[in-house]
Amino acid sequence: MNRILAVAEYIFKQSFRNRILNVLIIFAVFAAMFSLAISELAQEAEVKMVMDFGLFAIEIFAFLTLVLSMTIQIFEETELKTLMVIMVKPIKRSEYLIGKYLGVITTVLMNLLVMTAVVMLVVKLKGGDPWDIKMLTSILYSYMGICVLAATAILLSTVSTTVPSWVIYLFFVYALGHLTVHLKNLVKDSAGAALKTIVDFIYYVVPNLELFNLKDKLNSTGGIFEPKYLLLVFGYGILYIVVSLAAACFIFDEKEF
Amino acid sequence: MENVIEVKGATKVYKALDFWNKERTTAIENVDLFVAKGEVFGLLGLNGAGKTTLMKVLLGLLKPTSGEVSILGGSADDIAIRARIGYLPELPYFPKYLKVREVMEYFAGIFGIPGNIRKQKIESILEIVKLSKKSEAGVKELSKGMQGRLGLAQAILNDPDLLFLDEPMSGLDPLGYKETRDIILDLKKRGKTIFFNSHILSEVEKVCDRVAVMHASHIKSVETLAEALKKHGSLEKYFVGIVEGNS
Amino acid sequence: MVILKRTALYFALNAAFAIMCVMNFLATNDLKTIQPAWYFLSRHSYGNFGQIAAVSFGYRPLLADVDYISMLQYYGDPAGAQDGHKRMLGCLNAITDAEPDFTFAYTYGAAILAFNLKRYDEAISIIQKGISFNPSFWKLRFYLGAIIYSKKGDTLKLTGLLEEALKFSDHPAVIERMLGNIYEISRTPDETAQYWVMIFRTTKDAETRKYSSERLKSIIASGRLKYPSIILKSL
Repeated sequence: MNRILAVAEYIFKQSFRNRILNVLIIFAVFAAMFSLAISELAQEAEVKMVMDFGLFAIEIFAFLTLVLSMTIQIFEETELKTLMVIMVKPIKRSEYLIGKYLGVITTVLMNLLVMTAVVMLVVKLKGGDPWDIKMLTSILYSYMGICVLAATAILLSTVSTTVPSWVIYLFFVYALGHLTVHLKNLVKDSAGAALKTIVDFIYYVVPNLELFNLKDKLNSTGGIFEPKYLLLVFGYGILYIVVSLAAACFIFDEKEF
Repeated sequence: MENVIEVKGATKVYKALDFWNKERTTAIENVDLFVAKGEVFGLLGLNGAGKTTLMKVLLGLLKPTSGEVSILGGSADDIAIRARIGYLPELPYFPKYLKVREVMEYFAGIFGIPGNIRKQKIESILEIVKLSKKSEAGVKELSKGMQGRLGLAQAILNDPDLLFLDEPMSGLDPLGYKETRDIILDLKKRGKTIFFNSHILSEVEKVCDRVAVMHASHIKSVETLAEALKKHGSLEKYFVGIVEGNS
Repeated sequence: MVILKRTALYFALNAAFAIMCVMNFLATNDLKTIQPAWYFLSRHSYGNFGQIAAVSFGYRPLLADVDYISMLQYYGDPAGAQDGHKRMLGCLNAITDAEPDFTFAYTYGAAILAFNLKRYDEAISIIQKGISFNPSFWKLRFYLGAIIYSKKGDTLKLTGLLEEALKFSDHPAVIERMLGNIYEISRTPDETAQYWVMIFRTTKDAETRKYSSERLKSIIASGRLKYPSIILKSL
């Protein structure tokens, strides 16, 4: 456990002090403040506007933080060969991967907390309720979705050979993750067996990010914020993370440097 | 004398990265080698001879295609063995936004050095590599030579029984050569075994007990330094003779 | 031993994957039950790249918000006024296609169409669209009633409905101005002035505050107030 935490701390410090990530956080804060300006145009729908924009900014910047943080890691490991020094130390490869995962999601969490505080302030300034439970729950589940995506990112990093290819795969997974439910719905009645099989494969293998997407369901009256649904999605998220990291460990164990 | 490194018939063939390309590259072939405990062993060879590949095979970073490899009586896959080795790669890199002390704390955490002695241990190692005044400096503030010394510091942090150094003097100035040489000799005096690659024959002459020449994936010659110097007059003549004799 | 351990781990991983798939399936079924049918992309979405892009990033409401601001810009643009705001209904449909449960867009848009632009049929159509997507949001039926009465010229029933609407904090500001204008015709100057004072104090809309102030000044200047001191005291 200590080795895992040592790696997590190292990854977190390295990411958090990186100038590029600091600029991203500043950008993220500006984006949230920008929603204040946009809401002036909104006339009577200001609270909705700042909340919508703020929640979107939180998720997008959390995703970009994940991408940047992992890009820095992968670049250093592959191009600057930092991984060789670690792999000859008395640390299991699985411990290193888990420590890396914890370091990356902690970096994302720090950024997310800063953004959340700013969005709450902006909502309050516009007369809304900054402690709105639905808003806070949707932020929590956005973070959960990013944690699932981070596990996928770690798995992809064990099979990708270059940083650009990894980035492209991850963006693809992000978009596809939101579309799987819709694709399954589209093919359900009319498509051929081959297409249904392909869609089913994508649906089960790619993380179903739409389940964690509560931010566009704030007006939902059907019980999306009920404990039953939330617990089921949380369980799915935890299992997906475990399976992805385990698969990554299997692949990483056989990797040569 | 007990052997800490034993290699029998080790071969490493790299698969082509290109899916359509079926060519294979043989990096090392039928390598037989042993290194005794307490020895300083120098591996010489031209660029592309296979020296780094052999070192990586010994460290478990690469799996041999065939043959047997043993270090400290076991395999580098064993964590207990890895706790007793140190490794300095060629051109070590450390994150520039961390401080020297933080880098050492990271490695100390991996080695499981207890918290109560960690600070003291790090300070003593930084003292040995003459970086104690730079412990709070950021890595980006270090010169190339200092980064090399930081690399050496992380390699000896766990007081390893077996140390692998890949071009330890690469990029150093003459003072750097002397300081690194002194550290190697000090480690030797303490009974450590050192296996290193180098192109700087003058330094190899000053520290090694035995040397090997690797050429075109094969070990062409292994001799004690004394024998090599006796037969050929200088290490350069020995090396050039082996390489040109086989070209 | 190592092989045995790896094999056991491999089977455990497969079992975890299977359970994960089941949970995904159950959660998706829940989602399909909870969310209305419009939420999911359909064949009709193919032509709407904006919607597909919004869904890919998991954010339909943001697309609706951008369309909403565009609608407001169009409504406030003098060039738009010259063509009689012909595209108003189209703008409202774009907003509500992206986010059918954006209920404020229906009430606000319908109020503009009916009470400002006097296009009652378009207002009724947008409200009815809102009701079809949000059957439990009863205020839409309320606005439908007000629009129908306004179309028929039944001022009494219209006034009653508008006064009811004013009690809800999320009513569009256009209702406040509309009711005040009706009072100027149907009530005494003192009652109308007291109404404009109340609106001046409580409205959240800057334009409506300015309008109420102008109407108040106009009534005071006209000298029609019976008890001007009461009005001035309440200011």
